[in-house]
Amino acid sequence: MRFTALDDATVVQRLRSAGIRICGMTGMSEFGLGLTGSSAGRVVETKHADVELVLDLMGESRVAAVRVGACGFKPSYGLVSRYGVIGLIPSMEAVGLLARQPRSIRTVLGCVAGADERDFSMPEEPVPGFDEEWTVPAGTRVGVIREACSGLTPEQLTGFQQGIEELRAAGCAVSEVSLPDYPLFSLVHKIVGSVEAASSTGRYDSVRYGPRAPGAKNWNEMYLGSRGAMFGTLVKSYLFQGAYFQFENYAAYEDACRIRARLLGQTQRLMQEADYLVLPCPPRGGAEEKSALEAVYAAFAETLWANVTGQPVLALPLPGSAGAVGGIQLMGPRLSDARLLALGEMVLDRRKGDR
Amino acid sequence: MEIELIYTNPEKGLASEAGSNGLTVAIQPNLSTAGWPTDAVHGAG
Repeated sequence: MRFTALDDATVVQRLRSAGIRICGMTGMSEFGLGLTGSSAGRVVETKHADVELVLDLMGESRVAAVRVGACGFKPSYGLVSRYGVIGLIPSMEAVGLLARQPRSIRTVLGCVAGADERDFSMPEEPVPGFDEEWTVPAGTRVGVIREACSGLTPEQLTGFQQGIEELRAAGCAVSEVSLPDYPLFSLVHKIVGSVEAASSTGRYDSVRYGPRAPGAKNWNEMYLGSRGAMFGTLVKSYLFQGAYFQFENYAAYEDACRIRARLLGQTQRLMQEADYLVLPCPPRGGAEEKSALEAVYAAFAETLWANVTGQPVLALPLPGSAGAVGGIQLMGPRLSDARLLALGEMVLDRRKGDR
Repeated sequence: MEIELIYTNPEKGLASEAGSNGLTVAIQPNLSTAGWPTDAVHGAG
């Protein structure tokens, strides 16, 4: 489209104010949905940047991170301003961070987090401190979600269990917890996310935004021709689905919103049983780059939860060759971002033999 | 370096040079940066 931005996003403005150098931009998927055509993580893997910011709509920052053996983090919903972010799913997306070390994520997050009067979706609440060195007490309760392990191959399960053993060895009290409604995260994300995406992209009508396809004889032809040429296969299928729920089956969308509220309540109850919840982040062998909607949802099945409920979540690579064994996700209660990153730091430091 | 980036910061200084706090950050084009392109891939459009 060859469009250049007119203003800085709040995140960019804060990075600059903090003296952090922005070296450039990396290739991304269309609207940041999935990882088709995205080079997310490569710049961190090759050490050309310490941190990369990647919009996390369904787990992109975490999946991209573990495939290159790095750490990926999605902050609590509403902690980082989305002003100036070209988004797609407003109620589920967050600016994610990738880095080789959770410490780098913590430093950058500390610079960009906090209230922004230009982002009306941000709640007015105190921002947790990121400077303090948190100590993770022995006996930290960690709950492993039973249902999340059902789709893993024996090899992936072994890798995931190694990650859990690391937590146990670090002094965490590990127990198994259950969420029978776990499969519903995918359904809710698909329905609510697609409806929001269809609404968000309504502005790309080739009049207000987006390129205009030539040769149209009337407004309708111009609109259909331009939108048809503008969007790729994955986004088109997503928008068709969203339009279906928006205009043909609104009752299903309302049901999905009700189920989402129920899942949030269940998540909050689980957070009474455990300080952190643990989920796998298995390698997908490139499936995350597919352009078929079902394949993309299957590839991100384990990372959708935190986007649906707005929890902060940290993906750590498992020990072994980069990307081959996948990662482990640690999810905490809202605004536990700093403590979550401290836990990740401790796990990786122990792996290196520093603690 | 340029291989990893679809757009390199034109401001003075090497692309790999860290900022005053020692960190270098890469962003994606959906984070608006005044004067920078918003295309998802190099040479799109």
